Amino acid sequence: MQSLPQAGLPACGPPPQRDFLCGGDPQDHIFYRVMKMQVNIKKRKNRLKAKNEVINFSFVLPSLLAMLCFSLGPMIISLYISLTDWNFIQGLGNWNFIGFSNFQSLWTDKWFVASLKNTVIYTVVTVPIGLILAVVLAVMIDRFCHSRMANGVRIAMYMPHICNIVATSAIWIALYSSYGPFTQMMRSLGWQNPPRFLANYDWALPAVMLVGVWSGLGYRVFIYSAAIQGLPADLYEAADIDGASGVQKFFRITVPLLRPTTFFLTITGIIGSFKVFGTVNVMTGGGPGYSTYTMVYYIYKTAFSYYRMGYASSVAVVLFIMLLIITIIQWKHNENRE
Amino acid sequence: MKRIVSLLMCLSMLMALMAGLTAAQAEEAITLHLWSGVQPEYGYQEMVDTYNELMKDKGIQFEYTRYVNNADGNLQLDTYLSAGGMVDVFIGYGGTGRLIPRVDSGVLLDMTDYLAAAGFDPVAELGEASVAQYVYKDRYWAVPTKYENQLYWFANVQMFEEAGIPLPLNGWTYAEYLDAVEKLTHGEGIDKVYGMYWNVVTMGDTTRNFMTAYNKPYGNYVDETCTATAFDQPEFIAALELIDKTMENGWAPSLEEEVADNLSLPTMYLEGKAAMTPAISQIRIIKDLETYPHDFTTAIIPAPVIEEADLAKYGKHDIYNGAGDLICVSSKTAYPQECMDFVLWYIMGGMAPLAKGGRIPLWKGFDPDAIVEAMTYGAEGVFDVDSIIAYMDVEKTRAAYALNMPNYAQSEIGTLFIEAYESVLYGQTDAETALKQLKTEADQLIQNAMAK
Repeated sequence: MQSLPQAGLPACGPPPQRDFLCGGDPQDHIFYRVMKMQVNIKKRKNRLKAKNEVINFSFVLPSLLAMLCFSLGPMIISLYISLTDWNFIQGLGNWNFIGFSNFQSLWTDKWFVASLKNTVIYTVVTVPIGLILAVVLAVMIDRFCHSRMANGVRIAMYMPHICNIVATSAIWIALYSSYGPFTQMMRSLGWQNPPRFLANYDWALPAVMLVGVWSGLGYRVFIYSAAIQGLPADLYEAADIDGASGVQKFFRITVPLLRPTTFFLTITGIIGSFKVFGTVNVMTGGGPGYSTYTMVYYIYKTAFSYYRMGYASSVAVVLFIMLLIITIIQWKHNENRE
Repeated sequence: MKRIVSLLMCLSMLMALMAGLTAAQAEEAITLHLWSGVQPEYGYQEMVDTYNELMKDKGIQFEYTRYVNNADGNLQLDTYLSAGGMVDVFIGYGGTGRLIPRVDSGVLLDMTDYLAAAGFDPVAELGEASVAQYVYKDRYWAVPTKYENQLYWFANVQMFEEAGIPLPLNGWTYAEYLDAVEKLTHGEGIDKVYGMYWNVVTMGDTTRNFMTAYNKPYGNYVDETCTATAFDQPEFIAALELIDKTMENGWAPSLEEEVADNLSLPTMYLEGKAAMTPAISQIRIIKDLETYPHDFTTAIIPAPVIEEADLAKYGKHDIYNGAGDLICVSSKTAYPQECMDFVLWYIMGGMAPLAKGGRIPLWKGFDPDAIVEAMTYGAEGVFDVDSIIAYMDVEKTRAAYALNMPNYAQSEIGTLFIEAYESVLYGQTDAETALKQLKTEADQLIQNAMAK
């Protein structure tokens, strides 16, 4: 039987003499040569792939190195420091390993307990309020504003998000002062003797929370607006035909369809509010007393006022674990959706 | 043509090389870095320029850097001291609270042998009372350079005259003070003038010093072992009650007003809205008529004492040594001898321009009349000269205590102290309860720190 010539391959020659089954040189056989070529192609592909990978990796390398040096490395070191009694001013290396002693001390430390409590209160209050306000405003802007005006409103609302937190905090300090516009507004609304918000044990934290809601509102409205514009119009048309009111459409169509966006904003909002620092540091410095201590502020205070890096790291590790749990929940939720 | 161009290029390269070499030779001059917490215009730049001119031929030049004397500024300084390189000599503040941790961490040069080699005896030249507190482990790590008794306050002379109250240059009691502060308070709303402005927010250290006045130089502690705090002593309680009383009665802005309205020395005392304030470290601001114009005279008066019987013992606050502005050298400097030469020059005359900015040199070799003249130079009528002379004449020998104070959670205790007096001034609790609670918590912190 004459074997068929293959494209790109020399003809095999007379089979009886050259067939390795019949005692010919096996390396000359067509199957062997095809296999060899396939192996070569595979090797060449692998080399090309490896080369591409090296090139690709070289592009990522600077970011990777920066992440290793400034993020991952310090994180690992911080984990170790949390098990030591290192004092910053003693210089690197003067670390005494004390096991979990720092973590044990945390729960009897009134400042840590207060900062944990305040952080949780801050999160529980600002995230839901921020989301509710944002979704209502986003729907109102989408429904009642002309498209050009809507963009202007969204940009105006977004401005606090990109403004320097120190600058906005300084403005709010002035707004909250005894004769400041915010206090005057409270008076004009019928509050006869409004407190000095930032100098009051009961009002300082709510005052800081209000700034947190305000500064994050524009970003949330932006995200919600983008999501609302992508909602299917036919559902609303069908609801109109069925005679649904605006409120019904909002609660039965808009809110359920915005659930993924709400979930995303909830997770990022929780993470953001757990990390609140700037407004507290500038507006109250943790005071009056320690009524506005938050976890990051306490980390800063312990590390850079008391120089107790080991203890500060243990607070940071607790914060890290809390944020890790929130992130895992987010991952799981995403997996379920997929 | 090509040859000419090549030749020109060679020549230009040669000239650039020579210029580089010359620059390199010029750069061989040693540049050292001096850090301090005061703006250069208050005499520091003039002082550095004078030294640089003197040392021009020796190739030593100093560069002045101002750091802010707060938590962030001291963190920056400590970071540079730990890393080495950017700070050679610095002026430290915060007394032993900041000095001792720096010594323990090894960032300060031991000056003892350098001072001995130069024949400078700090005790003889600066006074035992001024120096003793800063001798740690029997060595000199810092030398105080400035006299500043924080138990002296500013008083608006015209307001005192209008109220018919004589200036209490020889001391006064709490009762006399309360009587005066009530008389000095008048007006309502935006036109209100207070008898006192405590300035707790920005001059908290000064307020705390007033509260610990009787306990100097042990400060917050029972004794030099620093293993127990003294916050429950009656003197602490009486001082806090006094502050609270002035605020409660509207004779001083409340702490809420201070915080909410962002009050400050310039907006209160220098605007004529308060007759007294404890801010002796801010003499330079009182004198700075260009930035803070005002037309009244300021007298320096002692803080009051609890009762008549205390006047003889504490009236002039000579138990408080008032030595500050600790000049230190970094242990990581490459030029310790050059730094020490500067330190000695600074102490013994070099810091004279700073008197114009309100800093009173501690060295005994300074002529007191020249200091008064420098302090009032360019600001005639701003200070009551007699009160400055009385302030400078305070006998300080009683404050001679050599303390080797350990550092058990001093910063944390400082925070507890602030929280305690804030809770009283915000009306959350009374002075006795707050200070007893403070003692319990502070002593616990000490025990925890000692156990480690």
